[in-house]
Amino acid sequence: MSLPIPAAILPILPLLLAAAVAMLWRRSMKVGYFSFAMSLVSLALAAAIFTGPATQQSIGWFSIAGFTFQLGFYTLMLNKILLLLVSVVMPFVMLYSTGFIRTPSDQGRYYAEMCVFASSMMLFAVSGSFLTMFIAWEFLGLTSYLLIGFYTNKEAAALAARRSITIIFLGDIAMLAAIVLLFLQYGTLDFNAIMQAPGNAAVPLLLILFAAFTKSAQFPTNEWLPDAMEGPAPVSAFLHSSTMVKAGVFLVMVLMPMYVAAGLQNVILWIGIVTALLAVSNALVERHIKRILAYSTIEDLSLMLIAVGLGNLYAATLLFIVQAFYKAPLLLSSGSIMRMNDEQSDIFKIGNSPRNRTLFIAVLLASLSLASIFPFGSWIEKSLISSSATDAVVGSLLLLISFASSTYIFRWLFVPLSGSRKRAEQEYHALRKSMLVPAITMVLISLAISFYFIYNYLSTRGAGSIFYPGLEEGAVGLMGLAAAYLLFYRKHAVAVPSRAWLLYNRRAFDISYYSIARAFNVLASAADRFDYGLDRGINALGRALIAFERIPALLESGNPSVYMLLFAIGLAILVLAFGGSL
Amino acid sequence: MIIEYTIGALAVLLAASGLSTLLHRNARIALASNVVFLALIGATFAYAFATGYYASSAIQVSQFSSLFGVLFSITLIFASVLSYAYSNRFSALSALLSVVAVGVMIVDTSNSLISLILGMEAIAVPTVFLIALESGSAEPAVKFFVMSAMAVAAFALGIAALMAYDPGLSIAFSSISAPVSGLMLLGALLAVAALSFEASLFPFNLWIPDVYQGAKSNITALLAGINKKVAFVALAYVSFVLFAAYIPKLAPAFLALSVLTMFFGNIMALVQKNVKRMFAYSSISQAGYILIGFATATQYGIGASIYQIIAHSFTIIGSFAIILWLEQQGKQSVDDYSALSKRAPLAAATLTVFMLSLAGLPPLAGFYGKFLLFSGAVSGGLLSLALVGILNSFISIYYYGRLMLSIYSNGRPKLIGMPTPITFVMLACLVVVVAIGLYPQPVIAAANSASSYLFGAFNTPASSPAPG
Repeated sequence: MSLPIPAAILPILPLLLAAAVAMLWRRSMKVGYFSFAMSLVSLALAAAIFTGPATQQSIGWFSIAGFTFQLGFYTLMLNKILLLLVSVVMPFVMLYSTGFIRTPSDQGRYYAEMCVFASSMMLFAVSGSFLTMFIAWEFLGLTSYLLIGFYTNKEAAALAARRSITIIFLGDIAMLAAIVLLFLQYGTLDFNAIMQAPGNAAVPLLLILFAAFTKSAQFPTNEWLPDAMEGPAPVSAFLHSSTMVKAGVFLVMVLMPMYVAAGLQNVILWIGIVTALLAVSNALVERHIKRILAYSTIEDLSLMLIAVGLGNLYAATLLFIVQAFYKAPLLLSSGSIMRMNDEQSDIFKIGNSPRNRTLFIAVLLASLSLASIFPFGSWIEKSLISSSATDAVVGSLLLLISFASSTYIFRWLFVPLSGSRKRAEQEYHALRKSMLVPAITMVLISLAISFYFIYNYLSTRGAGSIFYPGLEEGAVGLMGLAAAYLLFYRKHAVAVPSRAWLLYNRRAFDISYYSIARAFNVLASAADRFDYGLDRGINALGRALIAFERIPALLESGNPSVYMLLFAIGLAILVLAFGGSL
Repeated sequence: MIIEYTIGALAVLLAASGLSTLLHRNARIALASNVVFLALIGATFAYAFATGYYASSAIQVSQFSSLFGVLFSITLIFASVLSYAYSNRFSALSALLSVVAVGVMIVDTSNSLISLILGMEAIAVPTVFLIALESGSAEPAVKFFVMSAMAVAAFALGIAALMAYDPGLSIAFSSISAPVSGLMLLGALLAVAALSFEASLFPFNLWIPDVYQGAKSNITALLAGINKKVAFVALAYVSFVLFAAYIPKLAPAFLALSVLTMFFGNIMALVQKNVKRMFAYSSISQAGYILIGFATATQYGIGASIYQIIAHSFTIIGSFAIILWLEQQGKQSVDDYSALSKRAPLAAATLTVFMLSLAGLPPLAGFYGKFLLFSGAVSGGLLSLALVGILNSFISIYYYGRLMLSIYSNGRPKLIGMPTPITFVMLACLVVVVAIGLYPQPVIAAANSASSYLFGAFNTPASSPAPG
């Protein structure tokens, strides 16, 4: 307890240093390596916290009228997991970035923003009160906005950034309202104190749920995430698949006891299912190499929420960890593939080459992990989720989602294999090692984690409980693989049903978003007219005040005898007015 | 005992080494001796504050006086460093500054009205010379001298009124135990008027813009950042310790002075073209905000005032550091500041941060100061005073915003580089303003324990050492 700051935020400090260095030496290519080194230091500190004891600390931030606002810092199991997850993914992303971001003028801005993002994500991970959490939450939204719009010369990037920040602001408002309501109800902002207090807080919990849905791209605020793919590939891999978008899910997981008490689990479950169905149907027909993966990320997040809704926190946590290690490599590899195809993003116009074995093995293993094929990646989690679905409708919908996700990811893999671009074949060998090593290493980590958990699960609980859903999940995954092979591999590619575009529900969202925006525009122009009148009123007031100034200006004549006279008059008034009882 | 003697001995050494510069005339040694002795005094006060040391003998050392001892040591160091940057007769300045510093420490730790008035004079007299030495003309110095003479006269009359009740003139003399009398109230009001002169409260403050503008900016920083704050410390001693029984009568007077001062400062600042004069009026309006806590007259309100005094000291000294630098290049008007952001981005950004803090924007120090003051006023039942304060904050955004617009406009006037001493003071103040805004709790806690001393320890007959 001799440290002036809580130990939980120690891993943030190297990153803040890296951000400062990046801002000072904006154009140096070395800031990338420095950020990478600092992310390793941060990883070491996070690992030390992970192996250390669980702590709950809070420090006073400021006090108003006898009430002290406390900043809480927890390192409970979930906090440790997210902290370690962020700090493990970060060095890989930073290493990839040193190969990917090569423009000198981009260096400082990119690494500073990434380091500030990672700092706020770590602060979010260890936050133990709504106050700490909200600070980190705001920084997450801000850095996400900045990084989506990183390519300032691309109009699409600017529009995507604007859409994401608009939706995230809606969530921020809901979150702030929820925090105020919780504070009024419980008189504290500490997570544990609120969770242990009696009483039902359905309204703030629903508001938090909405805020979490905006961050984690769930229905009806799901469509900003595919647009967010306008950012650089490492940003998509870090923020928009493996860490930031999980903030909402994480919050719901932390507050799960409250949701159970308020009976809101079914809301979480069904919104998760609806979002997953919408996402997979989009992913089946989308042609943008990274957007497919974005829809897939939405689906992953929905599955975590479904697991929470079914009360299976263990499966939710497992998927929470493993998903990062197969989704991030897919997005990193997409960046490499696009780089080798003149930044072309349409999967029907690019060529993916098995000749670059490292790249190909990485995407193959990651795709197998994404599709629930035994014994890779998500099989165990999806089986566990299915096993806790007691309702037959929910169970069959989950199988449908698994089938579709297996289909779209192998479509994603197979279509470029039949691509016509031959020139790219040679260029694949020019890929930098720093862009290849992170992806393959992360996939191997994902395999190791899933093998460990499968072994762990079978050895402790026996195969019986998982056997039936596991068999189903594996079979569905293979069926998806087969369907994708028949429909999309090489010559079969023509056999796609012509009405498949009906699956593309994104347009409906675009139209509804725009009509909402138009409605607000009408309101805003009314407010604008009102504001114009107000503005004129304020101007008139200002002129009046300036006219008023001429009176005291007579006093400020620069003549000391006037000053002395006023001193005496002031003293006389003071004594006469306030010395009444003399 | 050790702490009082240490502080006394260090003050004597400070004055002696300051005066010895008149013999050796080495600017560097003069600066070094000022800085070192002030740092030692500050460290001693910090130790006393941290250990909750309490003594009331020849001088009084309490949570209140040690907190301000730390503040004044730091700000006096900054003022010395600022004066060192451009002055070609720093050795003379340094001697005068060291006397001012000793006066500040005397007022801060004074235990009787005699030492209080002597301390005030030890500040005022060298200040007259400082103003005269550093500005081309004698006019501002003479104005200051005449007005301060008037204030001293009022203060001396106030003391005379008290003589009948406590011939020892001790500050700790509790007016609560004395019979309520009109004579004593008259004395209290005379003392308030006298201290209002230096604390720049309307209508005792008309000299302020002339002198602030006429003096060189390093001296203006001293006047606004230190002398004015010392007057508030003295005002706190006089009204909340000595005349504690008359608080119900004094608080409405503070309320009236606060409202008048806020409006006077802000409305006059609206039309100023000269940046120094604008900051002079801005500093007057800040004195009005600080007085809100005095009008609230609760422990919480005074804590808020203390926080605001600390916040404003650093903000105004940092601002005048930048103003001094530009003044040396003949830039004084709002138009001269145009495109500052292009030629000196760091100075421009820092000045902007200071102005945002003065206007009271979160998360800067000035925001918490105003927030604490207004919330204290509301909880003390002075809702209308808080509303007047908020209205005044809105008015102030206009003139700060106009200077910011000028700073960030286009154009490329030539500027020369910033000397290291100025950069040091500017950045140090920036760090403080941002840090205590982002993480205000330690300062709020310190201010509250200082104000609790003002209300608790002095007024209990048997003063006991602080807990902890």
